Amino acid sequence: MISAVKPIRPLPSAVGRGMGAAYRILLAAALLLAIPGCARELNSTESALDPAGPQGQHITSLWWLFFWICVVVYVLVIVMLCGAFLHKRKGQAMTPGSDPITKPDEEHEQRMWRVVFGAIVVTVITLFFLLFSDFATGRAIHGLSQSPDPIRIQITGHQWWWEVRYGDWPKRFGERLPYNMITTANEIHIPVDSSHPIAVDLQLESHDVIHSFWVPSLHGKRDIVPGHPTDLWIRADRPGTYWGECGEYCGYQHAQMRLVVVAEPVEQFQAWLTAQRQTAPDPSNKIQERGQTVFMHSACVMCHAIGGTEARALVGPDLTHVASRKLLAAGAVPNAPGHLAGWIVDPQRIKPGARMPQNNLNPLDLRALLEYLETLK
Amino acid sequence: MQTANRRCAATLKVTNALCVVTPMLIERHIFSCLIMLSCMTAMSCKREERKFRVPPPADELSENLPANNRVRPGPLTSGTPSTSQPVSLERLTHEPFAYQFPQNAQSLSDGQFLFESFNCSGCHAHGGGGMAPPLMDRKWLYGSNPDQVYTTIIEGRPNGMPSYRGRIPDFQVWELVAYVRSLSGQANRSAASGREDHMATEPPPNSIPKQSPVPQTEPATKPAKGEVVNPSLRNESRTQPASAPATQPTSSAEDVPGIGRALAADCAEDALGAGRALPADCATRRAMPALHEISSVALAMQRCEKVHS
Repeated sequence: MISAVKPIRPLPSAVGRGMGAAYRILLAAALLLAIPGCARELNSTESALDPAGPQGQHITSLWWLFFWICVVVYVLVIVMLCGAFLHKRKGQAMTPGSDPITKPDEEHEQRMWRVVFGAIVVTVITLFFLLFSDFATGRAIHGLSQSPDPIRIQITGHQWWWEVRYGDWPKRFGERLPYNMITTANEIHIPVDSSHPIAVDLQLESHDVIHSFWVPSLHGKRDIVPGHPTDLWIRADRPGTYWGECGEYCGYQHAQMRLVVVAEPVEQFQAWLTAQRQTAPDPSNKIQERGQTVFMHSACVMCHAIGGTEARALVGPDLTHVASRKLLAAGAVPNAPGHLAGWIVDPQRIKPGARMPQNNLNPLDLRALLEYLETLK
Repeated sequence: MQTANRRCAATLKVTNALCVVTPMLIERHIFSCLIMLSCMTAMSCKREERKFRVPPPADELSENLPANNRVRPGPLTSGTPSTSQPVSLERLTHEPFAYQFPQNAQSLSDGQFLFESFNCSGCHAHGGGGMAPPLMDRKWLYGSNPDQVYTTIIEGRPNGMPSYRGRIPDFQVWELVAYVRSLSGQANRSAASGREDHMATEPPPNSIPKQSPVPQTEPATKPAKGEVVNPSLRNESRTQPASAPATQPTSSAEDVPGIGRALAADCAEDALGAGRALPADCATRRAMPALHEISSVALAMQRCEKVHS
């Protein structure tokens, strides 16, 4: 990233001297090179051209089909256009005094008609072919929703974070009982099993405005309109961390409404699930105790829940296992004690407009609160 | 050929005329043009500001506040009405938020969001009243001024209203105050919401006529022994009946126990109704500080038992 940016530095003076064009091209090239670099945090991918499951694979194939057909059409059109520019008219030049040509060449007319008609037919056939392949892709994608025994995850879009609830799962991941359901935020874990592929049914809904759930490596976008729950079926075929985000402008912090999908082998997934099903551990020392008291007697408790304590509000993300997550504030900052402290004290600097208010805790209270939150693994 | 020429000439004439007249018009009406322009510019000044970062209240961190807990001032057992810590009335009456927020649409709608999020609707039912008094009528048990509503939220009131001291940031309390008061038309109508987010039988806040509050004599339940009530507030609630004498037949001092009984009966009926409606309400709730809920339900049950026995 840094190396890509370096050549841009002499830009302003160079433009002043009238060397703008070359530098502008360089800048564009550098920016283009830098774009893929953006997705390289957390050793993860966010690209629709790097599919990680059958749905993404179908969409990517369709994309490449469209791409190459469009390339061929584009090249053909450009060649024809250049040909038309370079082609010289046949026949004698008009000289002053000679009669104007009133009757076109019969044979030439015939040929033109055949060419135009042929082009129309080829265009129609191409468009129908694209339409059909689009339809076939849609069918193939829909096929996954017939898979038996999926994991069902309820995802609710809020301004500006994702609420994730595991509602149902195959028997082998534990009894289907209410106390086995888990709630987390901005992080979805799914299993990867090559012998018995497990489909995941994402049940999407919105709490406030229109959002759009988009994990490019796994599936296309799906708009979530308030009051209209919808389903999206995905499956990951290789382990990895895949970025996702809101794909529909939903307010001031739309850009900071991100999530990660962690696809991991079944054993790891099972371990994660077991860990998430635990309630929060009791504070084990004086400082953590004080941290818990701070949590329960300040603004935190009005919006957040911690399993196993009296904090049960559902307005903000569930914090029962906040320390186990990779990200804070829906991907605005990585989850580290320093970032967490900054986020608690002044969220409006990190994510202006977010629902979380500033918290004027005194330093000792803040320290204790951090100690306590760090135990919520 | 001739008609074409004529048409051409006519068009030319019109164009010429426009070219001559327009600058003349502008020249002659230069002042009115300028005034119109400045009016249009001035309209953009009406844009309201939205501040994301609020300055912390001066004494939120101060050690002067009495603390009943070693970490933060605030009642340890939530749900008990706490009037033991008077908020300073001087600060409240000079609070800029109290005047800014009723003028600001963003603050009002944030207040509405908080009202639903903190489950105020659990008892006040979108302002219509249920287990707790309605907020969209003219009766204010503890005063309708911003500082009085603030005190109600922060200190709690007898018979169920819990204290939220330390739990809701100061500016959010003021947002709640602004929203609650907008339910009876006490906010700027051009800023108040034109649409409720839930089903409502009342018109939206921006079309509610401003209602002047009917003063009450005394809180229906007298503060228990040992509880300290802010003396200035006490005085205020005492002086209020003088300003509206005899309009309320119930405002004489002898009737106070009667009012109390009537209120209890009312509450019990409401609580019964609310008790039946509670499961549905619970399903739709967003936030429920559990102890508050339990305490208010318990209180309501107590009242029911009293009334029916």
